[in-house]
Amino acid sequence: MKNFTKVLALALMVAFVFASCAKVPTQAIDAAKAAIESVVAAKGDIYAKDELKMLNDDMTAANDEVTAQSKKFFKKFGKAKEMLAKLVTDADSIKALIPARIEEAKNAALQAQTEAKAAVDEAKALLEKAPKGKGTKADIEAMKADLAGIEASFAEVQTAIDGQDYFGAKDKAAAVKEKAVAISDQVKAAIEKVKGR
Amino acid sequence: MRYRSVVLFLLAAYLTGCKTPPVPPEVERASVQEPQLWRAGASLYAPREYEEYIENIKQTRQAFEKENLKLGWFRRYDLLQDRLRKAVDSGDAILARIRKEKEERAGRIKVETAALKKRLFTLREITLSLNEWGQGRQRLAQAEVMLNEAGLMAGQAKYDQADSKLRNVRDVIKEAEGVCLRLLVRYSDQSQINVWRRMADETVAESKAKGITAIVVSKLEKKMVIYKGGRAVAEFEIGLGFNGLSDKLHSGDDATPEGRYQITKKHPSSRFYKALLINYPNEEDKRRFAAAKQKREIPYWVGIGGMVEIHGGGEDSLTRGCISVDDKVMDELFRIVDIGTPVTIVGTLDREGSIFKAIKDE
Repeated sequence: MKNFTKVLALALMVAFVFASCAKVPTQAIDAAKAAIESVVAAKGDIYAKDELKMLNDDMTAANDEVTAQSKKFFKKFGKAKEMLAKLVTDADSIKALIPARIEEAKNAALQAQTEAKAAVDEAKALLEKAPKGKGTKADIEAMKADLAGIEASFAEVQTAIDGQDYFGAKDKAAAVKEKAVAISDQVKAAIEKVKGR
Repeated sequence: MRYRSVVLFLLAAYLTGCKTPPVPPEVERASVQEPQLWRAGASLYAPREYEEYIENIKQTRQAFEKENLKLGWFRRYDLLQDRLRKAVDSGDAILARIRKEKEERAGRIKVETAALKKRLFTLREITLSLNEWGQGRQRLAQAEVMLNEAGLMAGQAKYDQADSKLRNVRDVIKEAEGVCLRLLVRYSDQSQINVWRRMADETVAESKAKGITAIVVSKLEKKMVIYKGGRAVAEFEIGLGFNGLSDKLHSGDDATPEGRYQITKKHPSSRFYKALLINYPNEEDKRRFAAAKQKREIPYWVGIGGMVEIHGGGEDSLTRGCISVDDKVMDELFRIVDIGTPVTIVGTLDREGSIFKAIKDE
């Protein structure tokens, strides 16, 4: 009986030690959260959307694991810690991808800006040499006003680039180019109209 | 003996088919579907349903994990399969709903874009007929660029951004409409229109009384009506000056004068085909000019101007204040008018004319 009491006491002590030693991995959770935030801060929500979603899912899974273990008497946070550590590593790898993607978006925006500028310049040059005779004066004056309007829009491309809104800048540049090309076509048509007389 | 029993039991279990059941195909479907839903923007389009779906998937996954902890023989996926199938089916329903909603949004954006394009076209035509090449026309060009942008955004399924851009387009169009309407302030003033109507009526009455030809020019409508014996017999389109809608006050203002004039000279050979000179400035013009000079509204060195003609060269041309018509019309006019033929130039005879309607027409 005495022996049984001793064994029971020892077992309870061991169980207590095991149960209390397994603490919630707060530090690892905080580190994982910080890693995700650093990805967001590096514009991961724009340039690594899918990967960020994956990280958030992993974080949810790790939290679920922590919650599940917390409810148990014999808590084992080893798996959760592994998940959280992997998440931090993954976050670092994703963060490392972002600068290249930003650079890629920036280059695409700059390329679109160059193309838009070329289209605006072409329209300008055509307008300069357009025959300002009877029958075309009004059209040419109107197209000059159109060009002034799209030059104002073109300036917004640079504003978007300066604000690092590269996708927005690319769209705006493409839209400016479309309108500039339309003006060039109108000028060419006006020139043809005069030639045809 | 005990060892043999265990082996026999395992062998029997194996032979009777008690082995690890296959993982249901819904597990794979769910793993593909979940990111699909996220990418499709389920949290925006169907937030409540998506949340429910995620919770179901999560719970079912946990149940599977629990089931996987069991020995292969004791795993019962069939109980969970039904639950998972329902969750996956709800995911499919959400996806279908999102696709439908997106198609509807894209359709709405397309319709609105087409309507705004039409409106821009109308307003561009109006700026042409008003000779408005300032803020109004520029804003319209900017609106067109924005409309192009909205199209690009819609093409990338960025419907919120496209909607917001279309709202901006409408605002910019409103600004352009405002510019056009400001140009037409005089043309919506009823007392001014009454003055113009009286002048036109007097001219028509004179044509009737004397049985002569008379010309009435309406600047806003860019129209010239020929009267004979008080009856309208012909109507022609005209072109005006750079600043044609303003009433001419002095030399170099590029405005077309308003008032009652007469043909004073017929030029059979002019720089612009043929020309009919009118007697601008008349007495009223001289009085207005003198008053403006006195008020120092005009610099002292600027003269009143003159040599205002009806000439050829095309009705779509721009003049420095003259009225231009097609050469064929000029031939006709040359044939029917004489020195002394009354020419009355008015702003408009119609307060709610077509241009006003077109500007205000949404």
